[in-house]
Amino acid sequence: MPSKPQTLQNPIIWFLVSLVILWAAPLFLPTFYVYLITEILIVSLFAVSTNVLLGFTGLLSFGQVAFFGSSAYAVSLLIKGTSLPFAASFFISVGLSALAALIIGLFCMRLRAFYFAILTLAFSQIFFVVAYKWTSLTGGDDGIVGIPKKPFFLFDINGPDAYYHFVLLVVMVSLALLYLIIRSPLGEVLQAIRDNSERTEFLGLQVRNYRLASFVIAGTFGGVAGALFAPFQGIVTPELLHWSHSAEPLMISLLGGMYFFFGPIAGAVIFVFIKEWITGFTEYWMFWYGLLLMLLIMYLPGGIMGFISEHIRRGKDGPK
Amino acid sequence: MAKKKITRRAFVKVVGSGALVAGAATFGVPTLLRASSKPIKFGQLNTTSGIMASQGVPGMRGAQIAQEIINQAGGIMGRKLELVQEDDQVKPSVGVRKFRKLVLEDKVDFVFGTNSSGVGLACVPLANEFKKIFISTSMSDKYTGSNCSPYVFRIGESTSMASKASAYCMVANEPGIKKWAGINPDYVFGHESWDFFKKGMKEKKHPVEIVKESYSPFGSQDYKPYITALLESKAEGVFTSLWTGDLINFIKQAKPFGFFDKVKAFVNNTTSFATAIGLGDQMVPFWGEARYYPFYRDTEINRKYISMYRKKFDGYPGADVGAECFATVMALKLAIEKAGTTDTPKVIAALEGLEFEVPEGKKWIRPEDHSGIDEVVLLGKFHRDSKYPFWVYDPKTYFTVPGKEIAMPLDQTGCKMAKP
Amino acid sequence: MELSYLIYQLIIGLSYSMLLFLISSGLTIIFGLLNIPNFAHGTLYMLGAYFTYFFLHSLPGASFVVAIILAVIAVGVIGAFLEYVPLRKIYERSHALQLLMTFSFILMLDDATKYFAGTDFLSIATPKLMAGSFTLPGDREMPVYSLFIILCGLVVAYLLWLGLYKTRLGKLVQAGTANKEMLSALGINVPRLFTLVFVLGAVLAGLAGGLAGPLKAVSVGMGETIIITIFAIVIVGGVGSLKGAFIASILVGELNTFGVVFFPSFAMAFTYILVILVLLTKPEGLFRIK
Repeated sequence: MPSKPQTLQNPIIWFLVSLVILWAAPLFLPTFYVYLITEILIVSLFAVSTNVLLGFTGLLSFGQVAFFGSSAYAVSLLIKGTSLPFAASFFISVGLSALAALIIGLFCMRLRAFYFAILTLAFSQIFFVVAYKWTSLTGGDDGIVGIPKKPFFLFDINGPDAYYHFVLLVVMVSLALLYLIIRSPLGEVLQAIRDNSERTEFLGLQVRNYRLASFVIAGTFGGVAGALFAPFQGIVTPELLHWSHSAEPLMISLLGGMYFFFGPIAGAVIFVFIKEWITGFTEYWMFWYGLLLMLLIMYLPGGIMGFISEHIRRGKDGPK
Repeated sequence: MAKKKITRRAFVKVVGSGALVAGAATFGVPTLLRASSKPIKFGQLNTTSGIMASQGVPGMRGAQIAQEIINQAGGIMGRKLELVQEDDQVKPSVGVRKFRKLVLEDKVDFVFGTNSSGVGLACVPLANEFKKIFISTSMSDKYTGSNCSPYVFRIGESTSMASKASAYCMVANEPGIKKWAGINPDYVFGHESWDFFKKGMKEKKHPVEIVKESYSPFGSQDYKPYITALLESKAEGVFTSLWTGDLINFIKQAKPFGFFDKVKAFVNNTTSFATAIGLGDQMVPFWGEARYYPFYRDTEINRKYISMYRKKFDGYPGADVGAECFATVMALKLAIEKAGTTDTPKVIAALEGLEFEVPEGKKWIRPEDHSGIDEVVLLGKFHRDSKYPFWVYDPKTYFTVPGKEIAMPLDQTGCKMAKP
Repeated sequence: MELSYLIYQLIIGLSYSMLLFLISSGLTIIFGLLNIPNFAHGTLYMLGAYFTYFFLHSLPGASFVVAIILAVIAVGVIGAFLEYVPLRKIYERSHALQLLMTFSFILMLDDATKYFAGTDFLSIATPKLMAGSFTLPGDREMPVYSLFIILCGLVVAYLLWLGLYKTRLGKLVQAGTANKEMLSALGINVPRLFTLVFVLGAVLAGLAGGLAGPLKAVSVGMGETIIITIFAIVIVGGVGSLKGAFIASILVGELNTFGVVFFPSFAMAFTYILVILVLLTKPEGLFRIK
């Protein structure tokens, strides 16, 4: 175990270095990759927020898309339908997804294991049905098209590079907050619940309340990701609320390593690049993609970060 | 720089013989010589995975046939045509990402395709942003209405045309039927189809009593409750805009209820001929309307399309998306030649008012809203024909409507075209 | 609305329910004993339909029943492979990882099917004997094939009940579903039992696929359109409970039928509303196994 000051220092340096490098990235990357990295950043945030539940609280939620999608819809409706400044629309939408997470969370907290997964899925599908059927408001399956990138406070965020910088800042700040939460006493309790919820209960802790807090945190930051995604795409459609879209952050967390804070980020980078590459490479991309997934799960069940950390540990301990 | 090129090449999916030529051009030939023989690139989005692959795969094939015909005849203005085809997975978000990839990475000159209006409409803002021509092969009226733009075209039939033509056909062929009902998919296309069908009836001043309006979710497993409710309403005529697997599921489940005997007329506004091929001898007699029906026009281009499709892909060109993509590639080729350049504003001008002939028949692109208008729209009633392993339209029932008659009047499209 | 119409719809709904039961029974047994949420269960159902089509059209003179039997065997073999090779590696892992693994099966099996069978829709004809219908009073038709599906569902339910409650193997499966440790304590070859049960589940899915053939367009992706409904049934019924799956299948099937008749505009949400209502009152499903 490294000593305490180091653990505090390291992340801050890492944070600043990656911020600087990523900030400069558009200078030497073609525009397409700027778009791709913008998407990876948003997907990373969505995955890390989902992983607060999956990896750090031990809850498998299939409904995270409800918060991502409802925030994307809310921000689009506010941008297109009102004269509110973008920042206001942004924070209102995030607030709405936090509220939605609180309400749905209250209903779901009693449930365990897979029952929890299916109940969250059912709730999120209700959101999907509303978006799909309330055509006069949401445009139905055609969605809301042409969402402009209005200035955020005084900053012009129109254009790929400017929007990339905006997303980068918001995502980095959000990730820093999530990191602090996971390292806080709250985060430690959550992990204790994950490892043994009965014992935690014995210790006199209200497991349900802690789980609910975790659910709201995940929903809120999922909402941040959704509010970033809508103007980025310029369109929102019910696809964003479909359960299959909930599977994506789970998959990314698992591939990256769900017991590591940075696991989902590693997963997002690899997931987006591999998918982009493989879908352009063959019409039968699903087969190769599926095969790759299967092999990864069979041979790297702890995800990429799990694999790496095991090797580092082995390296330190010397050969056995 | 050289390194970047290789990574980019890895991303590019090059279809057909264009690949070799492009490869040779990149590595073997000095830069100056290359400029004149640089291929013209078309980017295509369609769905080739999952449940909608039945639409997208034929769409890709249709474009490949057009490419082969064009390249065999020397390309476009002496330049090879290269297709870059991408799977949009019927997801608007994937469509957006792939559109960007086509334009920014593959540097395509034009983009076309999509088999769902959700994906297609998501591409419209990108076409405007990148100032690239986008030709949709899905049916929404919005491309040439509320979402119209100088860069956006839809050269096939629209939802309103298909639905109104169905109404006109029923008024002419089944004038005795007054009690109508609808079973339509519960999404925008289904609702619009049913509304335009009713509108078409009204335009013909046909007295109609609507006895049942029903909508079923996409991918419904069980149509029996819808079927029994329709029968219970004692409808004499039923209009539907169900399509692909949903239409087949409906027909298969309705048949044992005697649905097609009890209902005097069943008319469908989006009968991809793949439905008839899929059902084979389990088909039922109903009125179909498709953007492309293989056996109506005995023209050279249609014969060529069918024979090449059969030879290359071992099957009939059923899904009309295939013919639609074929038509789109051909239209772009003609417009580029007319403009003498691939320069976007000039090709837009050349596409506007373009008249051309494709397997679907003769078409004209209306300049004001960029809507393709067919010379005629065809309907027919399916019957068994021993010449084919599947049912075809009974030639005696062919019913045609001039495209100009059912095209949305310009003052109703809602299109306010900006200057490019 | 008259009573005879309601009874008529009840029977119509039952035929859908029994099809759902045929698929969900296999999943609930697998999930209960192996504790694996097999997301590819719908894909095995799809394979059942494809194999039935294939045998019907490639073997001269093969009848519908023969084709289904062969198809069921083929799906069983694929099931055995999936259990024996990849799934075995992850029994001790989280549900999330198991889901992802079975999701990878969907991707591979869907694309393999696309490669071998193409993307065009295929259609299995209703066997001649069952193509007709009975005419009921009020000029209503009752398709023979719908009644046949009901019969199949009931027969399978009875056989499964016999197998689970009256045989030694069934009692082991039951005991294992309630308490895993007990199996090894009894000195049972657990891996072999697991393979056997997984194959049984796959066989049931394949059977359902073949039987659904005459009602459906056989196409790639038909498994994904139904899998969420099937999971909903298993969860509402209680994981591992055959009785639960049976009752929940009837609930979902009838709700869908009467929902379409009375509240058609909510058709998309029926199953989810049922899931929410049941789980909020019974957090572990209708019939909890323990």
